[in-house]
Formats: sequence, C-alpha cells, structure tokens
Amino acid sequence: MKTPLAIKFALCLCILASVMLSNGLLAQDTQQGHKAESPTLTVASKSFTESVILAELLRQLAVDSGSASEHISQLGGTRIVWNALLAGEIDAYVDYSGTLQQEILQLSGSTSWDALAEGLAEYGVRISRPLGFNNTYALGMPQELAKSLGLERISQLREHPDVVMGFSNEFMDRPDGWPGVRMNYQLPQQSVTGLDHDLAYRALQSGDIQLTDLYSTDAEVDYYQLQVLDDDEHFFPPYQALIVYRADVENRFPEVLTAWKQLTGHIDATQMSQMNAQVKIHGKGEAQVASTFLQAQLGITSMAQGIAKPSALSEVARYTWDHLQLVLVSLFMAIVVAIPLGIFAAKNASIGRGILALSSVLQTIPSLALFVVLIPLLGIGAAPAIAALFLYSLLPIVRNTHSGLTQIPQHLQDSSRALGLSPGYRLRRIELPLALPTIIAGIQTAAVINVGTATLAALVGAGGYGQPILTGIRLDDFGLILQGAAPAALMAVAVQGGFQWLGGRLTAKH
Amino acid sequence: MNSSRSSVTTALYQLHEVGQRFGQHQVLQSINLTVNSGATCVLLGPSGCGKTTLLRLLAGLEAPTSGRIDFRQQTLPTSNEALRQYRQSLGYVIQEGGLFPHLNGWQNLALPAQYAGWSEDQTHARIEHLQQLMQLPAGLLQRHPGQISGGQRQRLALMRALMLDPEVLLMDEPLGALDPMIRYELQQELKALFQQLNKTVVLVTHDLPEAAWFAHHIVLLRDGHITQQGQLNEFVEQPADAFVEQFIQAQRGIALGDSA
Repeated sequence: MKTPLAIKFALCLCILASVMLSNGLLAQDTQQGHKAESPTLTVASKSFTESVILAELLRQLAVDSGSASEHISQLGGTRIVWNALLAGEIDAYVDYSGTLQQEILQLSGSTSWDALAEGLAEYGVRISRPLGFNNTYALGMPQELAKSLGLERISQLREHPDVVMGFSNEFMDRPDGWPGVRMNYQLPQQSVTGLDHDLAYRALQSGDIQLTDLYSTDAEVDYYQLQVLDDDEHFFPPYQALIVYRADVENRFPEVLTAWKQLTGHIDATQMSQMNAQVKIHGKGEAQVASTFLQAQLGITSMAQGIAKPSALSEVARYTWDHLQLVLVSLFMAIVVAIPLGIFAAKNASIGRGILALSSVLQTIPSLALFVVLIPLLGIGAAPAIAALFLYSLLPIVRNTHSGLTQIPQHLQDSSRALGLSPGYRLRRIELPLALPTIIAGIQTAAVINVGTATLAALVGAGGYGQPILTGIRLDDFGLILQGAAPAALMAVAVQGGFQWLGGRLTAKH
Repeated sequence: MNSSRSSVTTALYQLHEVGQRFGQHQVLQSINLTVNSGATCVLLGPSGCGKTTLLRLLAGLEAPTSGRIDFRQQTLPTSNEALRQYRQSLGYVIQEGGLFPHLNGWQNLALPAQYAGWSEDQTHARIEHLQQLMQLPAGLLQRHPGQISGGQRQRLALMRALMLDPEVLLMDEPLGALDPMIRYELQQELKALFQQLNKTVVLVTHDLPEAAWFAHHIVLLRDGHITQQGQLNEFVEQPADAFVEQFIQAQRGIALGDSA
C-alpha cells in the first residue's frame, strides 16, 4: 500500500522537524532568559585567523574582568558581522579603520579617528583607540620572481601586464581593493581571478598565480618568502585595528571596557604577525595564543581558556546534529509551503508562471547576499541559515509539484473529470498520488542541495559541517576540512538514496 | 424484454447546430444529431474528423463554442456543480482505459462509489455483481492496471463506468488497442450487455464493421461535419457523396469481403 507509506514518511518528517524546531526555540528562550538575569557579552570574529585571535583576546579580558562572555567565531564577512552588531546579536568585534571608513561609512580620502568615531556614533556604535598595529592591504609576490622581474613597487606593475593575479574575493570587489588599485595606478592587467585568501598562498607556491593581496600582518609573508610591493603612491588607507562595540556596552559592561583599554596601543605589527604565525604555522589554538599574549604582555593569567577540547568524534556528532537540524527544519518548512504553492501554480496557469519565476529568482541570490539581508531580520545563528535554506528549497519542490500535476496524461485527467469528482477529491485521490513520485524527486533535489548549502551556514554562526570546513580552510588543515566535508558528502548520498528508495516504493506497481 | 422502455422512443440527446473551434481551427461545424434513449449511436469517421471532440462535448468535458446540446430536453449545464452531477449519470470509457495506475482494480472500481457516499457493503455487492457480469476473475482486482492485460483493463474500465449504473455510456474507441481475438470477444459481450442493461450508448470508432455490429444509428463525420447519418444499409444504397462511397468501399473491401 503506497499512500500509508507516504503518510508515514511525512509524519516522521513532521515529528522530527517539530522536535527540532521546538528544541531550537526552547534553546533560544533559555538563552534570552539568561541574558536577562546574568548578562553575557557576545564577541564575534570574521573568518580569518587574526580576527579570531583578537576576538579571543576580547573574550578572555571580559571573562577576566568578571563578565560572562561568548565568542561566535568566523562569521562570513564584514557585512554579516556589522549587521549582527546593529541587530544586537553581538556586542563587539575588532575591525580596521580603513574597512570601517570605506565599507561601512563609505567615506573617501583620509579620515581621522574622530571623524570615524563620529560617523559610527550615528549607528549607536563606538570604537576604541587603535590597538597599535596597522594591518593594511599590500600586494605581494614570491621574492625570487619579484627579483627576476625587478619589481619592488606597485607602480612598476604597469610595465608587466602579463603578471598573473589572484585576489581574495573581498579584495576583488571592494572599492579600496583591486578596482581602486587598478584605477589609481593605471594598471593594464585584465585577467584576474578571485579565490579564498588562505588558498592564495598555496596558489602562489604552486605558480598558478604570481601576485596576490596580503595583509601586512599575515603570518605567511615571512613563511612563504614573499616580497611586499611598496605602495609608492599611498593608495591603501591605514587599517588600524580597533575594537568596535555597541554604545550600550558602556552601561552594561563598564568593567569590560576598562579591561579592553589595556589592549589599545599594545599590539604592534610584529606581535600580531607572531600570534598569527603561532596559530597558522605552528598549529596552536587561538584561545591559547591569546592567553599566552595576555600573560606575557599584560601579566594577566586568564582563566577563560581552560575548556578541554572535545574529542573529534563528539565534535562530528555535534556538527551532524546541527547540520541535520538546519537541513530538516528548512526542508520541512519548504515542503509545507512549496507543495500548496505548486498546486496553486498548476491550477492557475498565469499566476503559476509568476510563482515559478519568483522561486527561480530566489534560487539565484548568492547565499552570502541572502545572509546579509536576513541578519537584520533574524539575527545570526540557525534562524537566518534555515530561512535561506528554506528559500532555496522552494524552487525544486514548487517546480516538481507543478510539473507532476500538469504532466498527468490527458486521458487520466479526462477520466477523473468524467467520473464527476469534485476538484478537491480529484486532487487528493488522483492527482497528488499520481504526481507524488515527481514531488518526492523535487524534495530529494531540495534535500541534497540543502545538505551542501548548509555548510555555508557556519558563515552566520549556525554551526554544522561548515564549521570545521571553514576553520580547516583558514588554518590550511586538510584533516579538519575532511571532518566536515566527508560526513556532508555521506549525508548527501544517504539522503539521495533514501529518497530514491521511497520513490521506488511508490512507483513499484504503476 | 424491456419492451416497455424501448417501445416508446424518446430523444435523450439533441444537438442543434453545434460547433467547436480551438483558436483558428474549426473542429466541429453545424452538428445536428439526435440520440435516442436505449439506442446505440456510433460516431464513425477517419482520424481527425472530430468524433472524439463530439464525444467530449457530450461528456461535458468541453463546452461547445456555438449551438446547443440538450440532454433530456434541457441544455447541458455550465456550472461546475451541475456538470459534476450530470457526469455522474454517465459512464465514460476511452481507448487507454482511463484507469488510475496508482490504484488497484478494486480501488479503481470503488472510487466513484466512495465519492457518491455508498456504504462499504453496497460497494462490495455492486463490484461483485459487475464482476460476474463482466466475467472478470476476482483475483485480478487486487492487481494494478499495469499488471493486467489490455482486454482485462478494458473490462475493468467498463465495470468502473457501470459502477453507479449510469443511464448513458460514452465510449471512445474502447476496443481500439486490443488484438483482434480479444476485440471480437468483447464486441460480442458488449452488444449483449448493452441490450441486457438497456443503456444508451454513444460509441466512437473508425472501424466500419464495428460500427455496423453495434449501431442502431451511424453518424459519419468528415472534417468536422456530418456527411451522412442513418442505418448501415442507407450508407450502402444511397451514399450521400463520393467520400461516403469510398469510405464504405474501402472498409468493406478489407473487412467484409467483396460482395460483388
């Protein structure tokens, strides 16, 4: 009997999804409850090592000054962290003056600290005095190559149009990145590829690219023996690191702010570069590196780092649970919305075209862009990730429901109408069961895509298999990448297989 | 038998100047036709002549773009609710059978009864009765349409059409997909059945011998209009035009043997 099987399956999905939903909601409730009683200061970092170390410094200092503090690590980029800050999801993070000036305030020319502070105050955001080091953008290439080409300054690139360039994706798009450099220096290079910053060093080493953007405190500059080209026309603005925090931190955590003041002017470029190297090259944990720094420089013995690292197995189990939760909850919501939408689209041809077009458009929105839009509405964590996955799941299910219903052979449609059955009865007893295999195939597509896309959820702090992948890429740790990538692939295969089995059961006797 | 009903000839369907066009294409034109209660009317003609469209109009699956179709002296309804009620007094059988592949035989048969709100006992009794009438082995009802032969499928389709004991059977090439032996067998059975149950039947075919076997009244269509209608002997003795003559000749030559 087929219908009961489909119903059983739907029921299982329902129960699982609702358990997860209520779990998530409960968890959120208790979190908020906590916030009311004993406030927790939330710091965040972007997905590069320096940012993670700096946020770890902030967290440990906060804990040391007597406040509960958590660190949401490696969020997807400036916009995501900034939106989370404005939404009150996080309280503080470390950013750079140049980034704040160009990307957030969109001011051009050189801007003083006061101008920056004034501009940010309009958003209810404060900044600390600079921490000390200037992590500006720079362009670098292997020393040997630079020597053989006689390259020392950026302006000299004009005479070398064939240099193969590969820039981090952020640098490619930012006005203070490649577009600005190119205009300012009148550079002729046309073919430029975008790639992840951490992969760029490998690409330099293997010769796939010859020049990339660097941060001047990158641990790799020395390690890979890179020549930093002189910014002889002073294009790059200063990138002074400073603490960016919500204005209400002053009232909520005054003692934390006092503790953080000890950092200002106390981290120079060499120290930062060394801390980066400790993590990236010597494989130490960010928390440990941060606490070592605090002890050596400020004489603070932090008690905040003493969390034992859980075993890899329990880590994978936690990632799996997070990942499953993201996939199943979003899939369940998509099924609930998309099937009625698909039915509606099949029954109303003109509106149906609109629905299909709209869900196709949703599919084309890049996930990072979607996250940026969703964070002001939903904050960070599982909610925006589930919302994005939900939106991406709509198209395959709507489309397959629509085509499953509209492709029912004419003679079957005629016979069911000729039996004098009402539209609702026809839909329930004949059309939906006939379209079910196609609909299941749509759900399968959505589920498999979801398992893959959910790895990006780590960019908004939702955890899942993306977490070890992100960290692995950042630290160039292939084992860590595998910890996320392998189970994600297995889950995709299992989902695919499960749905195929179900589809097969449903059509066995047709 | 049934003399009380067949002695009084009443018109069940009356078509007045019925036409149907799809966009630029005039599929049917000026159709004037009467189908008598209890009679078998056969719509005959080459493929593309409009006979299937005419049957779909009678089933209320499409509304004519011009003219009027009366069923028991009343114009066919246009509202969905009234149309559904009307369709429940029809049995509709098509070449492909129109059985639902996701339901087994029994479920296919029970569907219209369940929708009509019959009790389970009533449904069981009716299916058993039809099973004996159509001589279909009981075990077959547990199988899905894809698992039984073409002839069995058409028996099942006819059983479903008869389920609510409709007044009219509308059949579109019901035997068209069957091999000759099964087809012959079913032709014999169906004709007996139509008489026994005193059903009004409108049957579409392109096969003259089949038309001749079933029909009280033959309607020959060509390019969307009626070329000639009446008894078979009228077609033979007084063909309306050269096309009728050719159509009769062609099929007599093959199927009936040359009578000359």
